[in-house]
Amino acid sequence: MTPARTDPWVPEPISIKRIARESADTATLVLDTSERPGGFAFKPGQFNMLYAFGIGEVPISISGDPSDTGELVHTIRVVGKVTEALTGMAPGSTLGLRGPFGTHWPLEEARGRDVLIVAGGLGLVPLRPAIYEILKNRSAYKRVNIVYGARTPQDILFSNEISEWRGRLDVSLRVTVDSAGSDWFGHVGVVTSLVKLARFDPEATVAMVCGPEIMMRFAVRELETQGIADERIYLSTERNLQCGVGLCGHCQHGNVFVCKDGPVFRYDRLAPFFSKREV
Amino acid sequence: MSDPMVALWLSETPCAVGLGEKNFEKLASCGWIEHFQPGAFLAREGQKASTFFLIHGGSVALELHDAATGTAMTETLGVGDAVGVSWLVPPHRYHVDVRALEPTDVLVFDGDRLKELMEADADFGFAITRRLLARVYSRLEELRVQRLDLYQPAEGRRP
Repeated sequence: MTPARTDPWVPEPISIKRIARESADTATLVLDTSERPGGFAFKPGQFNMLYAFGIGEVPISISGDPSDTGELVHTIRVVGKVTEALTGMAPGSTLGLRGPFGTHWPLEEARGRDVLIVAGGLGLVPLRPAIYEILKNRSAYKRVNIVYGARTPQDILFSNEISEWRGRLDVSLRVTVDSAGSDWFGHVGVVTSLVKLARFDPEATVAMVCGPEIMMRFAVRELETQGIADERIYLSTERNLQCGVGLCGHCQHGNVFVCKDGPVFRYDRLAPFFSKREV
Repeated sequence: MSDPMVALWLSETPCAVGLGEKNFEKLASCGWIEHFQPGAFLAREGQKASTFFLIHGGSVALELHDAATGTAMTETLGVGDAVGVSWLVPPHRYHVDVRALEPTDVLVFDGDRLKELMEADADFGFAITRRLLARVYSRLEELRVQRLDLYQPAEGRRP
């Protein structure tokens, strides 16, 4: 059995168990962590650095179930050479892994409260582990609302699970797309328009938001309009994450390091510089 | 005197909030109820726009049809949403098709009658215009975001 690495700078070789295609440019890699002592423990919202040997390393959110420590799941969109290499690997191939890094979604704080999850595009990826946890401990939370926006019906991620969650009587899940043909029977419009339709108690709701930064700005504005205090709004942000341990400074956003102090932040911490173009 | 069912449905819409009794009654007097089956059109592009709608139940799609690319659904609207401002703005023609996506109940308002009442009573006219403007502004904000094509990788987005 290979001992788990403890040096955060050293990538650990890990093999790909299987790969599933999610959409035209997005794939899910399931990594085999069953031989690792204790498997691979992480908290919802955390990310890993994945290394395609000889090509480069990228930060990727963990998208799997935290209670399944024998597998580590990453959903990756092709945006450059490294992600292209990672998604092009075959089952049995080896990649380098460092992590887990960063802060996590406030699932403890959300206990006993309504939960509102707002995801846009690939933003559903780091929120999926939180959804698994919430649904696994469903009675610990009050109303659970999930709103998700995608570009088109073909870009909807995890569509089988979304259908499953939608079928539950104890979850309200709404999906919207930015544009669709007339064969689509769902909602068309921005994801923030779904926030207005969700039923929750703004005084006792914890909101978790992830998506493109502009989408998050509009989402925060809508959440504030609905009466949710900044202290109960959490965002997962994205910057140029490189070292993962707050040393290199590439991910600095205002006075925080996204890799170490984030990626999940309480909104009031980011608010002073969240929409400043200079930061 | 307005239809009691129209008044009841209208009272349940965001449009009625803070309208005041006199203005509420005026608005209600211009409305009637209609039901649309899935696939039925509430309005067609190019048609004279003499009415607007408040959705009481169900949902509708705003669609643009292009012979080359087919029909694009640009937005869907649901309970409480107002549909149509073309009755107020020249050339008073609908700019999109409005199609029911499911069994849909709407309040339909006679735009010509409403315009007369709005012109005769500035307070009523302002109250209605302000409500429509708020809705139009909110949709404009949403469309700005939608136009950015945010879910594309940054380099693939529209400028």
